[in-house]
Amino acid sequence: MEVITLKNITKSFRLEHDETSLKNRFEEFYALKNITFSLKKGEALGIIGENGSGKTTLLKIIAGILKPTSGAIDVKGKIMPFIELGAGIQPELTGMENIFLYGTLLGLPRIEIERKIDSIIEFSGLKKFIYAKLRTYSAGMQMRLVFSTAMMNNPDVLLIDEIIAVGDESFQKKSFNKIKNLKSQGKTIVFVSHSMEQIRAVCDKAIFLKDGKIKSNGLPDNVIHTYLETVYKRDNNSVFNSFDKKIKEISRLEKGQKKIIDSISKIQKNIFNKFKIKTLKNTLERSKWGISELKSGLSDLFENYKYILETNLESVEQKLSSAYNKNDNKLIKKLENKRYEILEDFKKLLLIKTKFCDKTEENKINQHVKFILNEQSDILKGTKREINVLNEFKELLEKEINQTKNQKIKEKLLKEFETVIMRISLLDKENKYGKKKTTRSFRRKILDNRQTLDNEKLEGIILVLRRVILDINDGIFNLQLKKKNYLITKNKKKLLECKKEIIKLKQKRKKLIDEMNRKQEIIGVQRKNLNVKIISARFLNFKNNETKRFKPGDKFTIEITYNALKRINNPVFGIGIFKDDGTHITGPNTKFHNFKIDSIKGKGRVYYTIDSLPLLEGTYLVTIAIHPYNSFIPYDVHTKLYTFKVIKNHVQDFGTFYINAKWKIEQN
Amino acid sequence: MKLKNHFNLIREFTINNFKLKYKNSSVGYLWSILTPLLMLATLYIVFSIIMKLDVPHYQLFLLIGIIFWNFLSEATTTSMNSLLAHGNIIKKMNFPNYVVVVSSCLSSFISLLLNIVIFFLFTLIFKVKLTAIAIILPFYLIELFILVLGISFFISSLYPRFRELSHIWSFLLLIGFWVTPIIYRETMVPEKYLKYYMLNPLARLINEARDILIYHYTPVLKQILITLIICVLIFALGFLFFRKRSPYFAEEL
Repeated sequence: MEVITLKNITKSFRLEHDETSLKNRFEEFYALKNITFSLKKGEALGIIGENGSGKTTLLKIIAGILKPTSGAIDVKGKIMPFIELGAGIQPELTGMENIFLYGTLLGLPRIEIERKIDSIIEFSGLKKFIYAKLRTYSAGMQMRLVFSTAMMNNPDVLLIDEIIAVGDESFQKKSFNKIKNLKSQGKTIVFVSHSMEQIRAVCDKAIFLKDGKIKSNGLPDNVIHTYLETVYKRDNNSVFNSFDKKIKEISRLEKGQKKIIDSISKIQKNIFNKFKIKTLKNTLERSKWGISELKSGLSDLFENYKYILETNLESVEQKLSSAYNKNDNKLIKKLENKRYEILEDFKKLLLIKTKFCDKTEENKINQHVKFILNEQSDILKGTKREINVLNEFKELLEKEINQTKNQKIKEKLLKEFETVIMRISLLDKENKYGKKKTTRSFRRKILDNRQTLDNEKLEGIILVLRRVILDINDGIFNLQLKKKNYLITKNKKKLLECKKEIIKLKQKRKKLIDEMNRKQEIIGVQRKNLNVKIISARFLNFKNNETKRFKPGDKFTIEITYNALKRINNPVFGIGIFKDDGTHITGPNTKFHNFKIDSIKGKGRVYYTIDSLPLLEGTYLVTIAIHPYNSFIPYDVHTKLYTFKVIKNHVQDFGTFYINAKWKIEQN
Repeated sequence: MKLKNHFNLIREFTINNFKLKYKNSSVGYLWSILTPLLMLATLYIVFSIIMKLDVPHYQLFLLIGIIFWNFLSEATTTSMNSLLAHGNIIKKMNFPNYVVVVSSCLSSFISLLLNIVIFFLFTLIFKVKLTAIAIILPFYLIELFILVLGISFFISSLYPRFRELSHIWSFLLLIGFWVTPIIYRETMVPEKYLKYYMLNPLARLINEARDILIYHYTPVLKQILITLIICVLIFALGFLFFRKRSPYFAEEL
């Protein structure tokens, strides 16, 4: 059954544009043009659009507050409009009196309101303030009162205009749940919001209004996408500018608040200033409301922009993985550059968020920023620009270290900091003297300082070395590809060059690996009880070649290289695989799998092989550990040091796991 | 919305208006009584003592005029502003707008009733006896209310669009005060103008009220009917005009 039907609704206003001349004072302005849609019972429609696109006008026409200039409208049932904040509110009356006034406006008889008054007050959570005048209420409290009263009216059609954004979080949740609840009871809802999340959570349909016309309509996800795309097609800078403006406005208001509070405390001693205090308190209230309004606008802007960046990133990454499959280096480079740019915007956005969010959120965001910085430095790999990224990383860590009080976290951060500094100095040298000289001079420096370096620092250096080795591996891999090409094209000169280059790199790698092993030994000696050391871990594909990219269903092997300085009896090797969001995916070890190792001595390798990798697209982190048979206190552990990526192939499932299964359908 | 709901709304708005009017003053409701009394004192001093106007029972004569006039001027002014004052609600909810105007007039009507009580106290003080004919006073009061409501409907529906009206109206009220027999008797008006002068419904109502309350004349039915027709006509015109304009209030406010 159609509850709301609109046919060719057009609404025009007379816009006053010149006050001085009496002729031609007015200009026709079309707020809505030919709006046609219908809504069935129990459906929820989301209306999105920028400010001034006609959303509220449309709601007012559905509510019967405004009369359309032309077109036909039919709404069945009791309509409950929530249009802007504070409808039916008399600031000079008490909360209680306002409930009665508003209830009567909604068409409830007095006796009915009296019967429901307790549940209304309880839902609003304003029992303490119910006899206070409404103008002493905050914006959120007023909204709570209105919303709670309205909910008792049992409406058939709800028209909601962005009111849920106000109020504290718990009430927001409560009222949002109430709306969802009402929807499941079969109420019809028209919902205007700037929060795409809320639209997505509630609505079955959506409409995108632009300049009074329906620009797009259909499933919420599609409509939201077109909306966000049109909004952010403009220069990114304008988005960041509007962020800046809002943040500046907030800080200005906050400064003003401080001043008001100061002057209130000053004149409080003077009894005759009662009236002045009252007005000051009113202004304070208003500016508080303004701040909360601005903040909610900011977080909406943030969420929307984040969404669009995320979708962009996703599409670039999809293209990238197909480019990797095709080995199209040019395209890869181009796409990686694009990915870098998006990540840069993302980072900028997150850093802006830290300016107006609370502490706990800030931590989360910092983690996210660090993740982005890592990705970025991964993209830039060894170029001069990577130093800038690393410097940013350094600054962020410095800030974090200064802010945290938790000793454990601080230590962890310090470790990270050390690594970053090492990476920076290495890169610095590389860029100054060329790759060949650097590693040597850097190595010498490290050797010189051997005595003063403690284990932690050594581990940092090893990390750096491991990274350089991995990079060299990549270089060798690329050169080998080139070599193959030259073999085919029979370009002898280049082939020779290539071979030389490969040999050089291999030598370099060998030296570095030796260096790394020496470091490991030093650590082993320094840590007296540490007789076994994990030297490295590699990921191997079905050809036993090292790689960091796998596809779902690939053969997947982790190769662990260890060095036992002493004989160790009954050691246990353990592996932990985590998703980059921290989800622990699996944690096998040799003990659980009844794979007995009697003893180890000297160098050796352990292989962990999965015949068909059951993981879906994503980045995964691996922890490697060796520990005694009867204890989980490790001899050595490399926590989340190794990463690999799973890229898309024909499998397009959502989630983390790739489960091999069959579908079947039986039809009559 | 059902008619019963309209009554509920009118009651709720009237009570709230009356509460709000005196909310922030310490003397409160007393103001609605004090204003006409202060006005009475001033006018009495000027016109009875200085200008030496010779009208029997001039205090009571003046008081009735002031009470009726005050009701008209107060009710029309608050009604004119009432749509604007309740703009918050009108713009955001769909409900019968006329309720706002009616309740504004009603809350002024409450003041009028209080003042009538004061008038009766005055009749005791100045020893003017009431006769049985005073019983038709409520009829006059209802006529007065209908008249004022009609005017209010008219001007309140114009005001959202033409804000200059507030200045014009205060000027019109000033004129009205002098073309209504409040401080003088209508018999002082030259004979040739009197016919037109007596088309003023307020003048007729004030006269009729004075006749029954102070001078104990029995009213003439024909005159009562003429007054009634004028009042109902004004009310009907005002209400129709208001109804025609009311769909546009939400966008004009």
